Amino acid sequence: MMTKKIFLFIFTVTLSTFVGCTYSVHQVPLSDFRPYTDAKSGKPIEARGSQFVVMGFAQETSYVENTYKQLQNQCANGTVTGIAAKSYSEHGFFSWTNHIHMQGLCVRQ
Amino acid sequence: MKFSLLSVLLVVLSGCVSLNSVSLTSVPADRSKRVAAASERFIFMGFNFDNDYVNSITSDLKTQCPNGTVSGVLTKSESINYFLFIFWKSRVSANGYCVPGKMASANDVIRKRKPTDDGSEAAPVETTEPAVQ
Repeated sequence: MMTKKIFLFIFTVTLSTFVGCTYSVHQVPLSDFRPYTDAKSGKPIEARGSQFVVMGFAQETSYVENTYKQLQNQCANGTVTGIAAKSYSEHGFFSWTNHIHMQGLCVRQ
Repeated sequence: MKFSLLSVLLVVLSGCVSLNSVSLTSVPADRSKRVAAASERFIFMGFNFDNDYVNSITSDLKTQCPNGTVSGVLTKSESINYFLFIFWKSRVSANGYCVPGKMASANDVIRKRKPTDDGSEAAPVETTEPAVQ
């Protein structure tokens, strides 16, 4: 009986280490749509950034700025509008990865 | 002894940053002038009686762009947790672009209505001059 419990414990820990991941969405802010142009005229662009954190030890959150820059670089001479920035975490064993996914519309005038 | 003291100081003084929220606005085509503002407050054991430190960010951005529109603003709210979460720092930072010219107001929007085949009222088509030149 005891052996079975130990096996179940080890199995659960192993599963959560290698397989068991959970995701949580923290927020999805959406920017305004400006200028007032037809949405079809814009080009959809996106950028992703992430940060791996072990037991909460993180010294900066610059992955957000880097993602924002990546998004802007894809629209060199235009306006990036209607930006949706999904911020979420992917949980692992005593560690997690913070993700940010930005999607926008590049409008050139 | 010195090493132990240094290790303790390192643990106490190094903070772990966590992101609370992010917000952003549309990014203008003209990104030649950058503006940035940040504000932070040190909080001990959760004793914080107001959040007024955030208010200075808006005025800071305004000061840096007196004759233009601040656009493409990326705002971050972070917590920097120090030793055993006994004290921490709340920081709000905003980065954006100053675009010379005025912002288009609702009155500037020219609403044009197109007739529909069934005679029903069509949704207004909003056109305007570019918000910023």
